[in-house]
Amino acid sequence: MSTYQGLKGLKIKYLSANTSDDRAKEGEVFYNSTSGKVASHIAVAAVSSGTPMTTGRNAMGTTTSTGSSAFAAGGNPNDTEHYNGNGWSEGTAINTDRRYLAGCGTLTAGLIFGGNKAPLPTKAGDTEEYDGSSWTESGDLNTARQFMSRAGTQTAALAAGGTAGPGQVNNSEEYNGTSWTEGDNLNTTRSYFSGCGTQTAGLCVAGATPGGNSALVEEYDGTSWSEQGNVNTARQIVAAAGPQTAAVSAGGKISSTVLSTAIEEYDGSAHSTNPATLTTGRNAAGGSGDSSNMVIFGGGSQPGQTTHTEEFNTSIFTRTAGAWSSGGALPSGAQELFGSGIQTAALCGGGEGVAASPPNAAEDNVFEYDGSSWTAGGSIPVRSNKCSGCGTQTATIIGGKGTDPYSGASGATRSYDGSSWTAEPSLGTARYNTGLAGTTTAAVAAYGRFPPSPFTNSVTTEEWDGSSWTAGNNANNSSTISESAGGSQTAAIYASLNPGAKSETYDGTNWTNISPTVGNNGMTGSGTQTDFIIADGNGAFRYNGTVWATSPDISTARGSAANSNVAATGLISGGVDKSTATEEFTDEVLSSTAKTIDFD
Amino acid sequence: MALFIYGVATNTGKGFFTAEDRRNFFLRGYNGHDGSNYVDVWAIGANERGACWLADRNGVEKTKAEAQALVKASDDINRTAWDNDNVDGESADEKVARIGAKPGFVTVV
Repeated sequence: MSTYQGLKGLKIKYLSANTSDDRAKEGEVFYNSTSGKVASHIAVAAVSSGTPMTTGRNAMGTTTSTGSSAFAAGGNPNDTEHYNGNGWSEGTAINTDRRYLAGCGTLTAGLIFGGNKAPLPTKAGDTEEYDGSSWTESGDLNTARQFMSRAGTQTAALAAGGTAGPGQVNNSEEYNGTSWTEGDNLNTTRSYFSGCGTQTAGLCVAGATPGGNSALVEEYDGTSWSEQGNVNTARQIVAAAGPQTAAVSAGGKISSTVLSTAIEEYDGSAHSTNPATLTTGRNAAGGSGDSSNMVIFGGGSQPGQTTHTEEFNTSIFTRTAGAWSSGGALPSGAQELFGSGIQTAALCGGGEGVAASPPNAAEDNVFEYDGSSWTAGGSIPVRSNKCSGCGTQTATIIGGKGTDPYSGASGATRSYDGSSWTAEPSLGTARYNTGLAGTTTAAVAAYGRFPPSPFTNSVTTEEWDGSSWTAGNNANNSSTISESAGGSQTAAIYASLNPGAKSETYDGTNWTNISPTVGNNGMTGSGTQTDFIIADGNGAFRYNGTVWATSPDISTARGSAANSNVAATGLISGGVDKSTATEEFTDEVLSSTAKTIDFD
Repeated sequence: MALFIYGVATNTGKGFFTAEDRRNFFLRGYNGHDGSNYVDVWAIGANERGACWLADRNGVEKTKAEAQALVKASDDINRTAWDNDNVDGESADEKVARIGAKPGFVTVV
């Protein structure tokens, strides 16, 4: 008789609880002494929602490589977006604007080819190589075509079938990194299909023949095409990804009014329909990865093109996407208020409130949040709007503000000890909407605006040591007004979102420009230099220390709200138009649940 | 089938919508005004969970046109308030610098 030790080389562990997190291993069997059961972690397939793309698109060029690193190029807009496993960021526009193209390779060694370009409906043979930052023209396809199958890498790609000129074709072409040469012909001429795998182990899936939807599947071995097991549901323009022996086909178009949500897996001989389905039916979506982790994005939906991203995973772990939820309402609505602390111990106050008279006059209210509800804290001795803060609920510093009634700027600085405020030495440069980062003993203030009208953007940096402000090196970008700041005095981030401006980081001495975002002025931010999230209801972005990517957004659009200090548990309260709403961010979670093995 | 359900329901704060709700259906909030008071207007993904969410919160379902009218009424109030917020001798550019651009009209999804 086979034993577990014999099969796995391990004895069954005797544990007081199920393994979890990084201790959970697929297939490992253990005994839970609390439940008295033998259990194991078993991989299951599931679809989870991802962060939307920036721009809806379909029939784009995509990677074939992984589900955690992909590009989407062309497909009506000619720009490129990058996926990092969590969100989308801006890439470089392709050289030849086109739609209905194909792509393969990786994010840093990608390839796109074919499509439909101007003057429409010209079939394209154009081929471009991508290194992650720039596109370079390469040898054209011999047969210009659109809606073709794809497979392979940047130096060994495969294009097959599609629509060329007035009709569908069956010829395939192989790319060697420089030029395309003819390969074998498909057994069945078709278009509106997709493919995956490699140049010498490729797969083409479903599509449309002149007679209608096709369920046909063919494999390529580098020399010839052979018929294989059909998909279960004939449909056009699925998103296909994975190697020839572990491929996935998702979505597709069944008719002009019916889009598929089906996911089918291919094991090298037959297709099986997975119980998991896409949430959003779509055709011509992008697909990258394999059967263990595939990302499906964009595509034609109803109506128009969708930005939805979904991930198909076969894993012992279940991914629960991040999301914002409602928090306790502010007792009094306000905008342009300061925020500090964390989600379960936050502080906000000042701003321009609903009770202000005249309109947009400043408030002196301060509220403390315990993770559920707001209660009144010690009022600011002087009504303060457009001020910024940093620190904790019981040790906050605010600096800079508008005059009251608002017509100019002040450098007033005050510290809060959890119950009352103390006047501190003012900022050297009076300004409002400045950004503060750090603590009550080591903070940095930068940017902001000051009179005379029409108000100048400040690049002045000042550092706080707990008792006074001293000058630091100026920030780089005079077009920036950045009250969205986070981090520490020696590792701060200032997110600038107004058009043409740039975000920067500060290391305690020098400023460095970082990649721009595409957000809006007045977005509210939470977090640190390596994990910063901003949102305003019209878009949300997260910076990981390297790049900005799209992120789940708050439900109600509003800017100029109060923030907290941690991205993963962000907090946004108040905001335009003098809102009382609070929203709390819950970060993405990976969890595993052991399945009990029943011997009965 | 319509993509969204529209309705009015007062945001009561903590727990009014959860992270799980946000994962289960589309939800976007707007500021509205019913002629007497500001109201919270919601566009909700048209699935069973979304419909139950609105009902569980004693929401009142609206047509898209009704929801848009409520939002426009709020926008009108905000735009009028902006028009009336003036400082003697202030230029148009200075006003924008002081209180920002005139609020626009919001279109519900």
